[in-house]
Amino acid sequence: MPAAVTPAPPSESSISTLSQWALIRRRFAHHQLAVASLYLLAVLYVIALGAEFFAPYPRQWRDLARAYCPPQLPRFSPEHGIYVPAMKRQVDPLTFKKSYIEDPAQVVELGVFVRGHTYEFWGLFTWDRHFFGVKDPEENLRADGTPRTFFYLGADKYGQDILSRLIYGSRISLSVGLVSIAVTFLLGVTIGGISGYVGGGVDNFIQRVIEVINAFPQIPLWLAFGAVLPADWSPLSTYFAITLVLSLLGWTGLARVVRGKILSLREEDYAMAARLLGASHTRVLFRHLLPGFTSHIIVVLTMSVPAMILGETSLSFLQLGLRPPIVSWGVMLQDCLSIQTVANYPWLLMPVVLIVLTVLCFNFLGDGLRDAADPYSTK
Amino acid sequence: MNAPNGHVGAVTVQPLLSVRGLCKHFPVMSRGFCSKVVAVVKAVDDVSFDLAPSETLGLVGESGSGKTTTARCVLRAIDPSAGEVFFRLPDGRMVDLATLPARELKPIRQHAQMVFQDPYSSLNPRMTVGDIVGEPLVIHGLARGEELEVRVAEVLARVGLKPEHRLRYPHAFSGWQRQRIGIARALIMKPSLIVCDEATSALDVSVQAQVLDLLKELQREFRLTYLFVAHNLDVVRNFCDRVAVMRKGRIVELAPTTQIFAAPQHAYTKILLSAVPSPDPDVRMNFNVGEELAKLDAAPQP
Amino acid sequence: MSDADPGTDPAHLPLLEVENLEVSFFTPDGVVPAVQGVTFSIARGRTLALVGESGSGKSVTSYSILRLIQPPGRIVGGRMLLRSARAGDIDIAQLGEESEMLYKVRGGLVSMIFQEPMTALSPVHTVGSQIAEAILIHQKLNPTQARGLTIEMLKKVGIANAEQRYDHYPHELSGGMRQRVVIAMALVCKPELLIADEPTTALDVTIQAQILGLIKTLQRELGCSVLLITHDFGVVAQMADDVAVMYRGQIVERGDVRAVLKNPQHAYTRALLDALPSRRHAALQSARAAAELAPAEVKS
Repeated sequence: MPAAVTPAPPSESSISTLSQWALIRRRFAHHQLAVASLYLLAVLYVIALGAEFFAPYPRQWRDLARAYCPPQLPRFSPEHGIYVPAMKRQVDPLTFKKSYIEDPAQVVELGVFVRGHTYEFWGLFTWDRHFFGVKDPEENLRADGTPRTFFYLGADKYGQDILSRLIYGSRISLSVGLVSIAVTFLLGVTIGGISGYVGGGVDNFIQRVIEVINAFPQIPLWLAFGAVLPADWSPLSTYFAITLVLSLLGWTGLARVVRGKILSLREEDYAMAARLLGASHTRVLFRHLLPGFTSHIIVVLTMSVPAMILGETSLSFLQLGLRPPIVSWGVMLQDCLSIQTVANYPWLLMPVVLIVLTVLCFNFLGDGLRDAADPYSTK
Repeated sequence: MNAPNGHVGAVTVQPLLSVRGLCKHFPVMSRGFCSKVVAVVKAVDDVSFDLAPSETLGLVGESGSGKTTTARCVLRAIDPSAGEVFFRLPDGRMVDLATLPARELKPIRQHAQMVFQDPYSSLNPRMTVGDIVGEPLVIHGLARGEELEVRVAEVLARVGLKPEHRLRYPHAFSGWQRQRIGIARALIMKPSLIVCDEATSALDVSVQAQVLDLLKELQREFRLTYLFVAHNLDVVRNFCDRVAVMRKGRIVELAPTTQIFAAPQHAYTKILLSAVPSPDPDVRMNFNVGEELAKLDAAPQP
Repeated sequence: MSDADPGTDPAHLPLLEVENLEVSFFTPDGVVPAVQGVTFSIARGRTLALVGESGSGKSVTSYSILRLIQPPGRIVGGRMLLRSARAGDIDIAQLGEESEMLYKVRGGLVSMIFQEPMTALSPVHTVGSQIAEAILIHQKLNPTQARGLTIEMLKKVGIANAEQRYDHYPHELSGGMRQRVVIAMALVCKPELLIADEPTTALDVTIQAQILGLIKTLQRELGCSVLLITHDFGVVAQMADDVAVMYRGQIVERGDVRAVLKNPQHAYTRALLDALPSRRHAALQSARAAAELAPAEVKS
C-alpha cells in the first residue's frame, strides 16, 4: 500500500523558487516603520545630492542685516500666492538686543522653481533655478536696494540661511557615515574573517586587540586624534581623516559578528558536506559561508551608520573635527555652545532635529533588516 | 603497502574498504589562560572492520559510542589519531585514506560520499537544489553547462524528484524530500562507497521506510556499498547485511544482521535489543536496562 | 460549577474531555488550521497516546490543553473540560489568559514534560532551586520544606546523590538525567494530568527505556493520568492504554491500544504500522516463506 502521506509543501509554489533576497524583501515589506524610514532616508540623500538645487541660498551666502532672523512660516493668500510678510528689525533701546517684527505692509512673494543664484551642478551644467525661494529676487528689493530675503528655518549670527546650511551640511554629515562604514566593512570582514576561519592563536590575538580597542575611552581618544590633525589641512583631507578615525574605532563590532557567524556556520553540516565533496577552503568560505551572513553584515553596517553620524557630530561640536568654512551638522551646532544663544535663538538647534531623525531612521531600517535578514528563522 | 584481505567479520571477497586499528582521541584541555591537556577522550578506540563491495554494514551505537566519529574518520572529515583506512579505487589501487595528504584526497572524494543526518542543516539554504546537487560535478570539473543540467535532472529523477525542482530552494521541501536531495548530491558522481550518517534518524517512521527503500534500489542499480550509521537497531534490521555494535569507542559485536537479532552474543547487544519498544503490546520491553548496564560496567571486561 | 451531576460518581467520569477542539494559525499568508474538531477523553489513572507524524497537530493539541498556543495561533473553538478532584470542573478553553485558575491548571493540576529537557530548564539556576520554585508557587510550604521535598522527588526519579545534584546546573547533567529532573519538576506538585510531549525522542534507546519505566512507575504511584504525545508506535504499545491517531489536524482512529495496533481500521493507521521496520521484517519473512526460499539464500 502506498505509504504514508507527507504533509504537502506549502501550496504557494511561488515561495519555493524565491531566493533568499526575495524572501528578505517580502519580509522587509511587512515592517512598515522600516519601509517608511527607508523612503525618508532616500529623500534626505536625494536632497543632499542636489543641495545646490534644493537649498534656497548658496553655501557661503549671508545677509548680515538679518542676523538671527527667526523662522518664517510661509502663508497663502489669493492675492500674493505663497508669501511671507517682510521682517523689520528693532533694537531694544535698553539692552541693544535685536529683534524682528513682521511688517504686514511689505510682502515677500515665494515660489517653486524660482530663479536665484547661479550654481554649477556637480560640474555638469550651470543653472539658476532653485526648488523653493523668493520670487524674482531682482525685483523684490528693500528700500535700501538689497534683495528681500526669506529664512524658512531662521538665520544664524551671520545672517546665513539655516535651511540652506542644513542641506549643504547633510552632504557631509550623511556621507561621513557611508564612507566610514565602507572602511569599517573592509576592516571588519577581513580581520573578523581571518579570526574566525583560521582560529587558534591568531583568533585569540585578534580578540584581545579588539577588547583593548573597545576598552579605550572614546572622547580622550578623539581629543588625541583631533590634536594630531594638522590645522592647515584642506577641508577634504580633514574630512577623510575624520572618517578614518571613526572607522578605526568602529570596525570591532563587525569583526566580532563576522567571526561569530563563521564559527557557527563552519559547524553546519553543509560546510562539511562541501568539504567532503572536495571543495577547497576558498570555495567553502566564499560559496557556502559568506553568503550565509551577508544579510547580517548589511544589518550591522546599517546599525552602525548612526554611530558614525553621531561621531562626526560630536567631534565637530567639540571642535575636534571639521571646522568652518566646511558646513556640517556638527559644525552648525558649534554655534550652540552657549546656553544664552540657545535660549534666545532656539532655531539654531535645528541640526539636532535632523540628526535625531536620521539616526532614528537608520535604527528603524536596521531593525527591519534584522528581522528580515534571516528568512528561515521562523520556519 | 600491505593491502589486507578480510579477516574481520567473515568477508572472503576483496574488501572495498578495510579499516584497521582506527583511533580518534580528543584531548581535554584544562580551563584557563595556559590550557594543558589534562585527559584524553577515546572517541574511537581500535576499531577494525571490512566492507565488501555492494555490502551494507550497519554501525549501531548510542550517543557517545563513537559511531559518527568512526564514519567521519573513514571519509577523512576529521583526521584519525591512529590506524589505517584502506579504500579500493575503481582501478583496483588501494589507498590509505587515513594518511593521504589533503591534496591527493580530492580526486578520491568522487568515489566516497556521505549522506547526512540532518536534512535541514546539510543543505545550504542559499543555494538552489540544482546548484546543490550539481556542485560535486563543478568542483571536480566533470561537467559544465548543458551537460551539467542534464546530469542534475537525471539524478533528481532517479531519487524521485522532478527536474523543475532544480530551481527551488531547500526551504520549499519537506524533510524527506530534502534527504532525497542529499542522496542525489552524494550519488551524482557515481561513488562506490556512501557513508550514511544517521540518514533516517531525523525523519518520521513512515518516511524512513521510503528513504531506506530508495537507498536499497540505488544500491542494486549502482552497485553501491553502504556504511550505515544508526542509533536504532530497529532501522538496520531490514537494511544491513552485517551489523557492528559500538559502545564507548569500541566495536563490541560484529555479526550478520540475522545473527545479531536472533542470537546476540555480547551482553550489551542483548540489552540494546531488549530496550527497543516493540509495537506489539504483548511483547513487553525491558524497562530495567539501567541496572543491567550498571552490572555490565561493573563486570571485568574480557 | 462542580458536582453538576450528583447522580453519577465523579470518579468514573473521564478526567479530561476534549470536544471539537479547533486551533488555527493566522499567518500573513492566510489562516492555517492546525487542529480541526479533535475530540478525545482521558480516563483517570490511564494513559492516552496521541500518535502521528510531524505536522499532524498532536503537539498543538497538547499545548492547547495548557493554553500555551502563541500568536499567530489561536484556539478558535471547542471545549476542554478538566474534572479536577481538587478544583472541580474547569473548562480550560474558557479560562481568561491571566486568570488565577489558569495558573493553577498550569503546573499544578496539569503539568508537562517536553521533548528537549533543556528548553524546560533555565540554564542559570540550579536544578534543585527550579523544582523548589515550582513547589513554592503551587504549595504552601516554606523554603526548607520545599528543599526537602525537592530532594525527596529527585531521589524518587532515580537521581543518585540527590543532595549534591540539587546544586548542579542543567548543563552539568546528561540528557537522561535532565529529563529525570524535568519529570521531577512536573510531578512534584502531584498533577492530575501529566502531558508528555515526545519525552524520549531525543534520547538513546537504553535511556528511553529507563525514562519510560520511570514515567510508568511514578504514574502508578501518584495515580495521575498521562497524555503521551509520540510518533513511535513502539512507545505507544508499551506505555498506553488507549490510543488516538492524528493526521492533518484530525483524529482518524481512536480506541484501546490492543485493538488499534492489532486490528487497525483506518487506512492511514495501517499505512503507518506497515512502515515500521519490525512489521516490514515480518512481511519480508512471510514473503520469503511464500516463495519457499531459505532466508540465507536471499540476497537483499
